[in-house]
Amino acid sequence: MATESPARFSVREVETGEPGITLIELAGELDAHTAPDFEHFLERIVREEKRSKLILDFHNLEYISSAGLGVLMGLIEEVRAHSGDMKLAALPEKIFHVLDLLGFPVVFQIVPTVREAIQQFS
Amino acid sequence: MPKSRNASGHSATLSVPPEFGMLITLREFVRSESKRCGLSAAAIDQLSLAVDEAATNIIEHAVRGMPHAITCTCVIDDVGEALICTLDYESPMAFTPEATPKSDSIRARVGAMQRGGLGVYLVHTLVDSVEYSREGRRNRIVLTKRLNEP
Repeated sequence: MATESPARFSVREVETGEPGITLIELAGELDAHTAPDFEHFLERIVREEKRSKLILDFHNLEYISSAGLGVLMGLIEEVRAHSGDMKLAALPEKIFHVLDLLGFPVVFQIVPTVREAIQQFS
Repeated sequence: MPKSRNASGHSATLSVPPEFGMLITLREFVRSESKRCGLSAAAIDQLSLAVDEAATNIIEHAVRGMPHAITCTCVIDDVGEALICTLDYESPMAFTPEATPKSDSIRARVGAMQRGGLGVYLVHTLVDSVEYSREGRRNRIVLTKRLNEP
């Protein structure tokens, strides 16, 4: 399952080999134009497929605006209500800076690597 | 998307249709001009995000679906100490800036998963000054970023 928009953003699921853990890889630029694609992708995973242990791999994400962050805020409570979590992994420094300005590290689990995020869930 | 540059090389203008799909073009323009003017990599990221957030707000609340372009002009100030990016657009309504949320307030909103106000907060946090004005039927938002961080 993958979604790619012409505005240089893509989101896809990556196999982890760990049952029950969903790894989602983001790449490119997440803004008000591309956020709806991301939102639809995450909604399908959370609401239709009822998966709740999510790791978002930010390693290849080059840009995020408040529109993209709003998508995370819109679904995190739903995920936690199903005893799961949404961990944000491998954030580039400039992406972390934006999240930090807004206080996201207090609310979201931010993990240095995908491997550590998987270990925490396991 | 008309783009112009004056002979001195210190000013450049880009006009884009009021569509979210044009945000990436706007950001690339601001990044390019910021780099040309000597901003640091971090300052380039901050200014381009601030312009994106301001333009997103304009498109969402003021001009989406209207035929008028949003014009972005980047110019070095008279004393060569700051890059000024102006977003200018025609609208029948005067722009009413939202009150800038305080840091504590925005963190409380994020804690409560309330999306509103994040963009406005980022605009005001990432640049050195933000000014709003209206001239005739045009609204202007002026974002100023110092070339050298203190």
